[in-house]
Amino acid sequence: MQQDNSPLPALLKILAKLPGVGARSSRRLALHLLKRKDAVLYPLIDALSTAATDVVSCRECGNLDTVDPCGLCTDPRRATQQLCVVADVADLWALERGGSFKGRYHVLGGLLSALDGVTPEQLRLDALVSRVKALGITEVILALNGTMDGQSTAFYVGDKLAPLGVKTTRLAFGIPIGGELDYLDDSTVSTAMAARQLL
Amino acid sequence: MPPSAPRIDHLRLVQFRSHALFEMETDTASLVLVEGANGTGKTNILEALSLFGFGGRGFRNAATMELHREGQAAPWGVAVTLDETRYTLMEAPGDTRVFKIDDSIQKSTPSFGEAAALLWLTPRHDRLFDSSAGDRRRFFDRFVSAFYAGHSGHLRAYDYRWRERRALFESGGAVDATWRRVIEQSLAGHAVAIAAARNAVLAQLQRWLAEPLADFPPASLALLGWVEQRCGELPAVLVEQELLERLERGALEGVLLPHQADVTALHLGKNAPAHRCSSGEQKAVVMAWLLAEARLLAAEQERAPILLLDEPFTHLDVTRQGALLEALLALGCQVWLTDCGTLSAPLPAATKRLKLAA
Repeated sequence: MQQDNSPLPALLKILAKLPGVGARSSRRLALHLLKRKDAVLYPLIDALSTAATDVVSCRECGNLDTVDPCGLCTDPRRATQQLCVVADVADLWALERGGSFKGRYHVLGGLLSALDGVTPEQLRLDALVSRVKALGITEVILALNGTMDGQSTAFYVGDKLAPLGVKTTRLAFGIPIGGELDYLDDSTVSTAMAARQLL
Repeated sequence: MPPSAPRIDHLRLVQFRSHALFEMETDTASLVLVEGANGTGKTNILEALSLFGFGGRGFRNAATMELHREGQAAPWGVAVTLDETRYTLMEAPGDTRVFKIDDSIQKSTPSFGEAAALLWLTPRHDRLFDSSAGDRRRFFDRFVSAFYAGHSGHLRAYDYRWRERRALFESGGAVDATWRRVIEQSLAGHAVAIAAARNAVLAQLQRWLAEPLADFPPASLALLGWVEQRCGELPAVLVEQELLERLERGALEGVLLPHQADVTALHLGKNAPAHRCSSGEQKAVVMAWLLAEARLLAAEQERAPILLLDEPFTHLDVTRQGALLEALLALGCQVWLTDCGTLSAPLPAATKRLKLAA
């Protein structure tokens, strides 16, 4: 390998900082890019550069888009008085892939965590309260992780919304589609039992 | 003991701790004795089995990397055949492990699941009553978890909330009241669930402790914890409320919370606390405790355990050694034992013996 100031180690170092990529994967990625400059490397450079200049965070909901406010916030068909609260843009995308929600979103920008030092001030909570009022929202759906942090954030948001009198719901906990009862942990089974529905 | 007490009949270790390759059949014997001098790898064999017990990290609480054979980079593997089902645990790239039941990969923590619970005693437990409250509490909680699968989840969640609460106070500046209440409500809920499970298991265990096997001393256990005590006096909902109020007021002086609780034992034969007894008597009480756990599991859950006893014969005289073997046979479940030459009592005929060479 070349000296430290040459471009290759710098490339490897920055690739290794990407989520899910370690030292070995960064070497594979770098080789792949450099062997296929026309097919992969130059298009990637263009895409990254465009994304860097054009993609912005929506001032309304916190989604990422090339316009601000984003396409979801300005889509008149999505003015349904339902607002879905998610922790991150990745969760918003997951719900969009599911395709069943037709209302608007609100990205908090993380989950409360005393241990990781994520405080209520760092989340877009005040913006959430103002949007609920301004948009005439009738139902806030909390689509947060089932983790410890997700649960405390859900309770916290619920508490903040309580004075507004808006209906607040959260996604169901239970048996995953295609899941086998026998393999589920006990608390999931008992939660699913408590949340059972009429056939 | 149900006739269907689970039996391990085959064990294979590859590049595991001191063993390059180790393979044995037990002929489904109920007693399996691993003998050998110090440093021949007896405990490593029991440790390999314990990886399928509570927590999935075995009785040394070892990280994946630590289980390598000394000085080798090759991945380690453990394969156990239990009642014709094969359980495999292997090291995989990226400091992870793969757990398979027969040929299908499992996402869950390694365990024999419903097929068998694992209970163990290691020489660390010989001085359990001279040790810290935390050691005794963890020893007991491990068993409560074998009984109530949800217990370990409550323990983890409680621990998380407790650390969160501390972090909140230590973060400096004003504490967000809503956030604090969210954390404390969750904390109180898990605390009561933990205490209720401990109380329920303890009550059932006492019956078996009072009627020991062979001539093990009768003993009784007591839980020292504020939530545990209140749960014995009030409905759980009220205890939760009371705890929450105390958390809110910060009125926790003299309140032993679930992570500070202790389990003490009384040697009923001598009517003395276990920590005042001789080391041999202490060991007999710990052993009686474990045997009571095994009998309770078998009787109440029809889920007979497999016992791993590392060096159980030290500190015991010949009579007690004989009594232990007799009690283990009466138990009917499979027991894996190690011995480095301290056993002088005669072995039952059906014992599967394995001598490890230096």
